[in-house]
Amino acid sequence: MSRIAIGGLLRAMVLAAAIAPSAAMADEAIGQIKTEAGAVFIQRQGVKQPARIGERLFRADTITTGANSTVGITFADNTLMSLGPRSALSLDRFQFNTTTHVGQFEAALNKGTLAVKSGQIVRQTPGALRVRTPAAILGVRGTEFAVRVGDRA
Amino acid sequence: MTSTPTLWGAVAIAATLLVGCASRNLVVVLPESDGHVGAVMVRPGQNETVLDKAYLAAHPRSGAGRIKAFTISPARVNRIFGPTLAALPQAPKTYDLYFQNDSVELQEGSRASFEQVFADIAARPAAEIVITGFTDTVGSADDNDRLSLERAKAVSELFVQRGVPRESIVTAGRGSRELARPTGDNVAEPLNRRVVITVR
Repeated sequence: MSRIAIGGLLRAMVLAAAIAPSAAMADEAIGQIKTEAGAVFIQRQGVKQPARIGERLFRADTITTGANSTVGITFADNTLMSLGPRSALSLDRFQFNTTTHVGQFEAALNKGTLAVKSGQIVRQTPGALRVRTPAAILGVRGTEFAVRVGDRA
Repeated sequence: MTSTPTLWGAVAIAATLLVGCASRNLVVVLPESDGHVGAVMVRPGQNETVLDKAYLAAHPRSGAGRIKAFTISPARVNRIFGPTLAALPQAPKTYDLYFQNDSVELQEGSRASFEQVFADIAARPAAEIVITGFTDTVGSADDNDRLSLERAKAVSELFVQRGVPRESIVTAGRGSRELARPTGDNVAEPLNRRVVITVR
């Protein structure tokens, strides 16, 4: 009996070890805050916390800014983004292979203003960066652009 | 009863005026610092509007048919997006390094670039460095991917020794992609065996 139990435990441990590397990949930082002014917050797994310069960002984070506040972010593929005052950006999807540069990046601007300089993901695969806004989806083919979500219904 | 439509008309006009003060959805394509302009495809629904020139803009509306593109003035972009654009982080910068006989001994000509990396790191908030190895086209693609990553990891130790925190360093191997000097397959080319440091 106990031998079977130990065997099961060993198998579970081997499985856990096999799964661990991919879990670590999912937890990898995808970006970092580089500029900041005023009130900037990160909402992560339901918890809203103040963000500092150097703060690492992860997939599924939402970054928000208060009045007269801005934030600038660099991503793992050298994409640059910044938010103006009273803005909210959620980082919905980020996959990037550092060898092939194949990847996908999806973010949603729910309110406010966003400026973007696209990086290596888009250089490798034009259109692989998508920014969702309440009114439209923006497909990015390698460029610098700015977008505002209006407060008009 | 007959006054009702007039009343509603007045309300509609007043509402339009009020809404006119509110901000509208806006997308604008900007020229990059090197003058290059890419494109943004705006899709409110099935229809797609392509913005592919500098200062070409659109007001996306959900449920709208094809939205019209128009040209916006740089001054207006600045009024609307000034603080947002000013918050963009400094563009990443790259430094090419060459090594002696595939060792981690820097070539004479790369020493200055190596030192510039440290000055650049010191000048940026929360600086990170990406160390990317490249090979020439000799050998299999898989071997070159592996070799280029090994080289990048070896070079990362030079930066750790000089005090760069390990957690600020990312290593990558691009194998024989992005050749500095394009060649055919199986060509030994020292200029392609390099390590590129990106500071961001």
